Amino acid sequence: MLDFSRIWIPYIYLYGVGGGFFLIGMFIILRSRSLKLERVRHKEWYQILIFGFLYYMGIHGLFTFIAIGEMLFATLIGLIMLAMAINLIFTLVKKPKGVR
Amino acid sequence: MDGAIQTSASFWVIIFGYFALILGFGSFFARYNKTTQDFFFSGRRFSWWLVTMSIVATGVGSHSFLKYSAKAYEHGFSSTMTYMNDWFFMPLFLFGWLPIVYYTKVRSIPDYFERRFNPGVRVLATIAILGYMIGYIAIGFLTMGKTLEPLLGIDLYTIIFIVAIISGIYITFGGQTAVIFTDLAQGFILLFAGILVFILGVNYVGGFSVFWNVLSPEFKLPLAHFNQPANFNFVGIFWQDGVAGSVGFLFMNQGLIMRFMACKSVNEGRKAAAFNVLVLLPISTIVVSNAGWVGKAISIVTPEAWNAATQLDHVFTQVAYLITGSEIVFAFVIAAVAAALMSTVDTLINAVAAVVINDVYRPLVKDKDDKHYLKVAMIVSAGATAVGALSTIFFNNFPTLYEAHGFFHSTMTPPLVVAIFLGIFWKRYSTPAAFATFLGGAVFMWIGNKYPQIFISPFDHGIEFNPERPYTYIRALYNTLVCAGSGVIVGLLTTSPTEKKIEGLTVWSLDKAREFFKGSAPNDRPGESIKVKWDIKEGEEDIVCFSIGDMESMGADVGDLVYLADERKWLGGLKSIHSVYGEPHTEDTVVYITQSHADSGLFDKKRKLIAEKEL
Repeated sequence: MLDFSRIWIPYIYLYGVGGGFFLIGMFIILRSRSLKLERVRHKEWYQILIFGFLYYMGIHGLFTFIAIGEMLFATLIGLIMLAMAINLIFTLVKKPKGVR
Repeated sequence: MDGAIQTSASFWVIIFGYFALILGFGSFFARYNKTTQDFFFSGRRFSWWLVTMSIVATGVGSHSFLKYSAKAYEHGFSSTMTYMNDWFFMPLFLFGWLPIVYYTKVRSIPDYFERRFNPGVRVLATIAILGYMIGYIAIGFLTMGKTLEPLLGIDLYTIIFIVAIISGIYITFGGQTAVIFTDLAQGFILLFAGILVFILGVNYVGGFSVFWNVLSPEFKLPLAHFNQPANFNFVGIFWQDGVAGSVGFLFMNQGLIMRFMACKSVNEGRKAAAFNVLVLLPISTIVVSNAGWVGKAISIVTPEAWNAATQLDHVFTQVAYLITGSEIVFAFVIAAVAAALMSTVDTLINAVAAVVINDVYRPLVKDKDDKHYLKVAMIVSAGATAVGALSTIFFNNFPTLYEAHGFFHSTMTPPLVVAIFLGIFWKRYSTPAAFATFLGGAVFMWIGNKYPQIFISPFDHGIEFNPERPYTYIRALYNTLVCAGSGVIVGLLTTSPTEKKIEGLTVWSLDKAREFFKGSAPNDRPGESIKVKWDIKEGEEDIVCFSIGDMESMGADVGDLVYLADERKWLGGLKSIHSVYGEPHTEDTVVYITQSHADSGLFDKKRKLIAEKEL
C-alpha cells in the first residue's frame, strides 16, 4: 500500500541529509574562498552547483509523481526543470567580453 | 544453476572479434606512452568531453549491468538510487579535492597523505587504497564470470582465469592513454547497447504502454522503502552507496582521480565531472537497470517465456538472450558488457600499478631511469591482475554481486574517505588524528562487525537484523562515524599542524597550491585562446615564444604556463603540450617551439595550433 510515508519519507531523508552535506560543502568552499564569486567563471560554477541540486530534487520528484499517477504535479515539475535548464544555458552562453 | 543458453560458433567469433577490435584501438594509442608520467597520467593533456566519456565506461562497470539488473528485477525503478546521489558532494569535489590533487601534482592519493601528514600515514593509506582497488578488480572479474557462466556452462573460476589473462596482457602494455581511448569507444558502445536492450525489451513485451501498465506503482517509485527489506532498503543504501560509495568513487578511486589529472586543466576536470553527474549518470542508470525492469515485465506478460529458475545475477544475460532475437545482436550486447569489464578493470589495474610504483617501489628503489620504472609498472599490472582474480573467491560467497559490492563499500571506504575529508577540509586534523582514523577506526569497525547488535543497531534506522548478514549496508554509517569520531577526538586533543606544513594541501590555501603548480604567483588577467602557426626554434629549454600582440590577447606574461594543442578540437588534446611563455618576438600568429615539443605533441606541420594561458 502506497501511503505518504512509503512515498515521501525516503525523499525527505534524501534531500534533508543529502541537502545537509551539500550545504556544508557550499559553505566550506565559499568560506575558504576556494570558490570566489567575484570571478566570472566561478560564479558560473556556483550557479551550476545550485542548479544540479535542484535538478536532482526535480528528477526524483518528477518520477515519484509519475509513479503514483499524479500527472499534473509531474508536468509542473517538468516545466520548472525545463525553465531552470534554459535559464542556466543562457547564463553560461552570455559572457562578458574578454572572458574565456 | 539455471539452464545454459545455447550459442553457436558465430556468437564467439563476434565476441572475440569485438575484443580484438577494441583492444587494437586502445593499443594504437599506447605509442603515446614515453614516460611513466604518460603511462599513468597521459601528460595532463585531454579535453573534458574525452575524459567524461571515458569516465562513463569506468563508472558503468560490468558489475553495474548485472547487479543493478538483479535489483531492478526484484525491486523496480529504485535500483536507480545509487547513481542519483553524487551531486551532494560535488561542491567539495570540484572546489576542494580536484584542485588540490591537480595543483599539488600528487602522483597518487597516498602521496597526498605523506605531504599532508607523514610517511607512516602514507603506508596506511597505501594499504587501504590497494585493498579497495584489488577488491574492485575482483568484483569485475567475478561479474565477467557470472555473465559468461550461463553461456559457456563451464566452471566460474576457469572463465575468470581466461578473462584475467586477456585483461592483464592488455593493460600491461597499454597504459593510461590506451585506457582512456579504449574507454572512450566503450563509453559510447555501452550507452548504445544499454539503450538498445531497453528499446528491444519494451518492443518484446508489446510496446511502452504495456510495459508501463503491467508494472505496479510501487515498482515504479524511484526510491526504495525506507528501511525494508534488509537486503534492499533506502536508508541503508543511502549511507552505503550514496555516501560511502559515491564519496569513495569520487574521492579515493585512484583510477578516476588519474582520469581527472589527465585533463588539460582543473576547469576541464570540473566540466568532465559535472557533465558526467548531470547528464551521463541519469542515462547510465537506465542503461544498467532496464534489463531488470524488462525482465519483470516479461515475467508478467509472457511468463511461459521467462525461466523462473533464473538466478538474480543472471537476469541481465537472460533478458538480453530473450529480447535480442538474433545471435548477432545478442553477441554484441554481451560484448558490450565484456567491454565494461575491461574498462573498469583496466583503469583499476593501471591505478594499482601507479600506487605500487609511486608509493612502494620508488621510495625503496631510488635513482633509476624512467624506463626501469615503466618496466616495473608493467610487471605490477600483471601481478595486480592475478591478485584480483584470486580475490574473487571471497566475493563469490555473497548471494548477489550487489550485496558483495555493498559490503565491500561499507567496510573498505570509510577510513580513507574520512581521512581525505578531514585532511582537506579541517586544518586542525593532525598526523596522530590521521593515525587514529585508520587504526582506531579499524578497531571500532572490527568490534562493530563482531557485535553488530550492540554497536551498529543504534544506527539501524529500524532495519531488520539479519543474523546471517547483519546490516550489510547501514554498517557504512556506523563505520564512517567511528572513523570520523576517532579522528576528530584525537585532532582536538593534539596540537594542530602549522600553517606552513599544510600550505596548499587544504581547501583553505588553494591559492598557494596554484602558486606551487605554476612556480610563481598565478596571473589571473582575463585573456582568450588564439590560433597560431608554429615553427622550430634553436635550443632545448622548455619555453615557447609568441609575439607581443599574441601575449597581450592571451593576457599572458613571460613565465606563465601555456597549453598548445592541434587546431582539430575533435582530437580532444591528444596532440598537445604544456610549456612556459618565453621572451616575445614581433611576428604575430607565430609560435616558436623546440623540436622536442613538436615530437612530444606529435604536431603536424600543416596544422595550426590553439594556444591558451593556463591558470
